Amino acid sequence: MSIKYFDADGRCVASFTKNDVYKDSRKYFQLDKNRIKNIQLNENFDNIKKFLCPDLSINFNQFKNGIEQLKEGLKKNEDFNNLLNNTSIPFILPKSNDEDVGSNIAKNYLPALEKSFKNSFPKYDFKNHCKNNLSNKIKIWENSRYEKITEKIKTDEVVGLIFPCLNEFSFPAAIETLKNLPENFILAGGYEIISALVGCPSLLKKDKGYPPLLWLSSLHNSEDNNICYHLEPYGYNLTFNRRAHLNKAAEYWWHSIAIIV
Amino acid sequence: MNHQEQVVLLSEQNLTPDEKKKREGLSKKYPHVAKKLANISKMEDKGEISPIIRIEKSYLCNFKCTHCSAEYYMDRHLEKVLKTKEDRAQMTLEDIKNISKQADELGLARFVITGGEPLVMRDFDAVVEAIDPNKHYVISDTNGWFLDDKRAKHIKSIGVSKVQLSLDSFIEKEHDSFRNKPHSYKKVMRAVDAALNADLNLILSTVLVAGRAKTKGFEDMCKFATDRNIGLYVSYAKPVGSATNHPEWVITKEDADIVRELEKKYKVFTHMTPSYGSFKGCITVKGIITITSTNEVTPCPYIDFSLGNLRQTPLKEVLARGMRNPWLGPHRPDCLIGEDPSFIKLHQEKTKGITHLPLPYGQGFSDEDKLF
Repeated sequence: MSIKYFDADGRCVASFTKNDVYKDSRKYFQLDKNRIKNIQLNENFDNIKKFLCPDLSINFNQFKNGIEQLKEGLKKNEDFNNLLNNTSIPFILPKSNDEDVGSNIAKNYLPALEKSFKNSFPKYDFKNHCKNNLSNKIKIWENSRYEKITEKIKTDEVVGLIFPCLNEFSFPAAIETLKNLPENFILAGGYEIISALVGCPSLLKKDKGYPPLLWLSSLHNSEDNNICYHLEPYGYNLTFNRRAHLNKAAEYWWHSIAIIV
Repeated sequence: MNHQEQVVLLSEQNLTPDEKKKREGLSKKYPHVAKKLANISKMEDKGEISPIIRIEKSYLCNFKCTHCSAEYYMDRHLEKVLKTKEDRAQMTLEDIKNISKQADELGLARFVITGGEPLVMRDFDAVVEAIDPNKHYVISDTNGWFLDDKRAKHIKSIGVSKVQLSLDSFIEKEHDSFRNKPHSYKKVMRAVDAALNADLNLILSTVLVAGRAKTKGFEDMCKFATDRNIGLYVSYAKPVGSATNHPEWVITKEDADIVRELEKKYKVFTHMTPSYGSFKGCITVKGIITITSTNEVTPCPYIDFSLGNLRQTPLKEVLARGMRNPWLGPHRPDCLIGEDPSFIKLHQEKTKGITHLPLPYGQGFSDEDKLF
C-alpha cells in the first residue's frame, strides 16, 4: 500500500498544500467507525429512498453493485486503496433540474434529513440554524469539481461514496490538495453529505468523545466566501449552520471527498 | 445608531425573543454598550473576537468552597499552605481604567467582577466606576452572602446590570456542605429575591461534577430556575484549584450531552451553549478571558497559563497570542480544560509545584505550542 496520497488510516496526506492544515492528526475528534461499519447498505438505501428520493428508479441491487464496483476499483489501485481504510458513507442523489444549489438544499435535502433523523431518533431534533432563505445564497467553490455533480444530476440519479478524509484541512488546503488527486475525486458538497446523512442519520452520533463537524466542502455563501455551511451534532441532536472559516484549519473541522459511480 | 436602528438590527440577528427583549432594554439605558453587543455576530463573521473580561482584582473571600478554582491565588493559601507571599505588583484602579479603554477600542463590551467574593471588596464601587457602565456591560459574581435588598439596589444604581449567584445544590444541606458555610443556602435564596426586586438581570451558577446531571436534585434546580425565569449557568468541574486532586469530578461527554438535552426544557446553559446567535463552542479567548490580580491574562477562568501581562503587553496582542495558539484559537465543541484529557494532563504537569499562578507567558502557553 502506498502512502503517497492517503495515510494508513485513509487520511489525505497534507503535503500537497501550503495552506493551513494540520500536518498530522492527534485523532481527537473521530467518527464512531464501529457504529457506522454496522450499518447495512439496505438501511442506507431504504432511508434515502423513503426520505429523499421517493421516485428513485434504480433498485437496491443496482445501488449495491455500484458501491461494490467503486470500492473494488479503489482496492485495485495501489495509490488510492488506503482510502478504503477510512470511513465511507454511500449516497444517492435524485435527478434535479434546480440550478440553484441553495434552493435545492433548502427545499429538498434539509427537509429529507430532518425526517430521516427524526425517524431514527424520535426523542431528538434536527435544527436548521440558518434562518435566512438559502435561495441564491450559495455558490460552488472554483476548482472543487462540483459542477460534475450538479451537471450529472440534471439527467441521472447519482450513486457514490463520501470519504471524510480531508480532516483538519482548511478550505484552501482542501481545494489545493484536490488538484493532485484524480479527476473523479470531487470535493463533497451539500447534496452528497446530506444524502449520506439521510441514509445514515447516526453518522455524527458518538457516545464517548466528540465527532467532527462536516463542512459542505464545495460550497460557500454567494456574498461572502468566508462564510460556509456545515452539519454538526449538538449533544444527541443534529444541526445545520453556517460559520466563518477564515481560511483556517481546526481539528474539529473536516472536509470530505465524493466519488461517484 | 439610534435606538430605532438598533431595534431593527436586533431583529435581523439570530436572537430568541427573550434575548431580543433584553437587548432592546439595554439600548435605552446604555446605547454604546448595546451597539457593541449588537455588533458581535458581525465581528465573528470577520474573525474578530469579543470575549467577556473577568476581572479578579482581589481574591478576598468569606467562603472556602470545596471546588474553588481561585483558591490557589488567594493570600490565605499562599501564606498558610505554601508558606510564601504574594510579591508581584497588584492590579490598581488605574489598571482597570486602562483595560476598560483598551477593551472599548477593540469593541469588547462585557466585564465580570469576580474574585474571591466581589461584594467583600471595599473598593467595589470604584471598580465599577473604573470599568465604566456607559462603556461596558457590568456583571458581578457573588456567593450571595451580602446581597440583601439594600445592597442589590445600590449595585444596580451604580451601573451593575447583572449578577451571577452561585448555588451548588438545591438541597440546603448539600449546598452548605459544598460551600463549607452554614446558612449559605438561605442567603442565596434571599439574594435571588433581592436581585429580582432590584431589577438586576440574574443568573444562578452551579458546578457540574460527573454524574450530577442525571440526578433529581439537579433537575429540580433547573426547574426552580425556570419557574422563576432565571437562567441557570452550569459550569463543568475542572481539575484545577481546590479540585486539582479530584479527577473523579471531571464530567463525561454523557454528562455534557444530558445538560444539552435539558437546555431544551429548562433555562439552563453552559459556557458553550449557543446564545445571541453565536456558536462558539469552547470559549477560551474567543468568548472569555480572565485578568488576575497581577494583570496576567488567562484564556479562561480555569487555565493557569498566562497569555501575557497587561502592564507589559497590550490587550490586542495578548488576544492575538491566544487566537494563534493551537489549543485556544480553533473552534471546538468541547471544554478544553474540563474535557480534553491531553490538555488536562499538560496543565497539571506544568502547574505542579508552582506557587505563584498563573504561569507567565512562555512557561505555560507560548508561540511554540503544539498539540502533540
